[in-house]
Amino acid sequence: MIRLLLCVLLPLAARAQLVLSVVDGAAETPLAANSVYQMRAMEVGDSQSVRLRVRNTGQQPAEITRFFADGAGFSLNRPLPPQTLAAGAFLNATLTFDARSSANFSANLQMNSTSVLVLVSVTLGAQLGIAPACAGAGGTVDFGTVTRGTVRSCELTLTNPTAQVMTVSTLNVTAGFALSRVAVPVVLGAGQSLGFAVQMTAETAGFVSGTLRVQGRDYVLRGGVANAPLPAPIFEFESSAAMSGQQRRLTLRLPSPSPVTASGQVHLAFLADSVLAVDDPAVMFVETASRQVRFTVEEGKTSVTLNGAGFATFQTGTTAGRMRFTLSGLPPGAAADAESTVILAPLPIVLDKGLAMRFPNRVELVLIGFDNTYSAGSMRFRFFDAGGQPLTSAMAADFTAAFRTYYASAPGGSPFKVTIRFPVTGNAGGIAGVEAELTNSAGTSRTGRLNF
Amino acid sequence: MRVALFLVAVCALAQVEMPSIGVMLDASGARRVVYGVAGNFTLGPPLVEEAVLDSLPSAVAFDEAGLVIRRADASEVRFALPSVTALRGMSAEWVQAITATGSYALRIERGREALYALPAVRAEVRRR
Repeated sequence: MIRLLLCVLLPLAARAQLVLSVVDGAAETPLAANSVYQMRAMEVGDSQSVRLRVRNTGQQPAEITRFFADGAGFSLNRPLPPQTLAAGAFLNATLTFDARSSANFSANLQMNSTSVLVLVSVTLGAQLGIAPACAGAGGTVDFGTVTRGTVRSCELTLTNPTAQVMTVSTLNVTAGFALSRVAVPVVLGAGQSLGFAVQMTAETAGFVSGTLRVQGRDYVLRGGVANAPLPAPIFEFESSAAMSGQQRRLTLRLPSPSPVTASGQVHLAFLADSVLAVDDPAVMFVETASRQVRFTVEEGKTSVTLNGAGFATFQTGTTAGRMRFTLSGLPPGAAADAESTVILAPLPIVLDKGLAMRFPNRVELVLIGFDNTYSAGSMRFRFFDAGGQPLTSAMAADFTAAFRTYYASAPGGSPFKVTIRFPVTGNAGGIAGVEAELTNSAGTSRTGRLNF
Repeated sequence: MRVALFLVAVCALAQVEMPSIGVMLDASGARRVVYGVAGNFTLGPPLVEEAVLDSLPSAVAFDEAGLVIRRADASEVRFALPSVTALRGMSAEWVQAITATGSYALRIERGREALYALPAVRAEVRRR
């Protein structure tokens, strides 16, 4: 008998400790059994959701065995029963009503033995028409992608679909958007329409969203804001002809003020003409000792800074070929495609310094320079006495093998210091000067007279 | 004499090597050989052994306007280079000018005076 009584009373006790509430922020307002809950009045096309919570206020676990909303247009989003709630635990749910026609609607909201009558009134409100160009998915107003700093308008219409005069007293938009050609209150006669516009002002790059409120109904406004493309920078070099063995300045400028503040890298690539030169390590920006340098341009300016300065210095190296300057770090567009090429033509051997030395049993000639063709080796020498008279006719020598060996093991580039030793039998003191001719594939260079 | 010079032509020998303009002091205080010819330099690795830097030629100085090379005949050669903080001898013909933003190589050889930027430290020559 006692056991039978417990079997009957325990489920009842469990049901009694489950409380169904409406949640608004942190507040929970209990819904009493057999009570009426009135939802906010709506217009056709609108949707309204109410947050619900079932809380176990007892000291024992309790089970939700029934939880549903039964009524046209209503839906209840919740975990399917049965659900067991521990003491103090709760379960959230959302009751939604979609207003598809004007009428009074009701639903039976049932949680276990608690039944609540939910009412909502739907009327025909002003209908919003969206121009096709701005019609986004789900009735949103889509401004598309707008260039920063510009304003884009979307054309809309408000229509009174009823047979009575309608007054729209609430018509506003959130920040970032503005109404045009309309002011409240808007009085619309039966079947009358009013055209107006919403403008989106693109201040910062990114995605923008907002709300257009017409009476109690909200419409989503959205759009993307993109920076205007950077105009292609102009690479500028010193006016003199570029050639190997130089330090030159690179400046960048824009043909028009930059619409954005931007930065990236200037890259320098080098392609050698000679198969003997894999690369030339001296080809680089000296400020970074590398083949890239950072550039920055500020919004509204045409000047571009390179590594924080107005120009960057680069070395042309000592190898014939071509230097290609490109940009990176920019979004696709004209700027990202900008490039410039500097051609370094083959040169006769460039001599930087010549030194003639005389010893009791030999004379030495030291020549420092570079050969950007990597074909040096063929030389001719003339020796002179103190009176400037030639001691010999031109004497040829071929040091091609020595240069080839040197370039094969050198770290790159063609600078050389060649020491040529001439053993002398007899009196070397009679040799007062020497002239040398050095020939490569691009021509012949001469030292001029070098005195011992 | 002609016999001697004939032997000169027949027996001439050439030794080819990488030229250097001297030793510089990099921003970290390490000494590095500067390879190359005027205007196109690469830096060698830090020297392990304590390299003796060339003494600074007394004819080279700097002031607020830049660098000045003073000749015995009282002539001067000037290069505009603001904010020079120090000068160091690199070799008999080259002087390193150090500024807050970088280093420069000043060629002081008479008639060949010139000023070039020295690469920052990253470019090191790797010898095979």
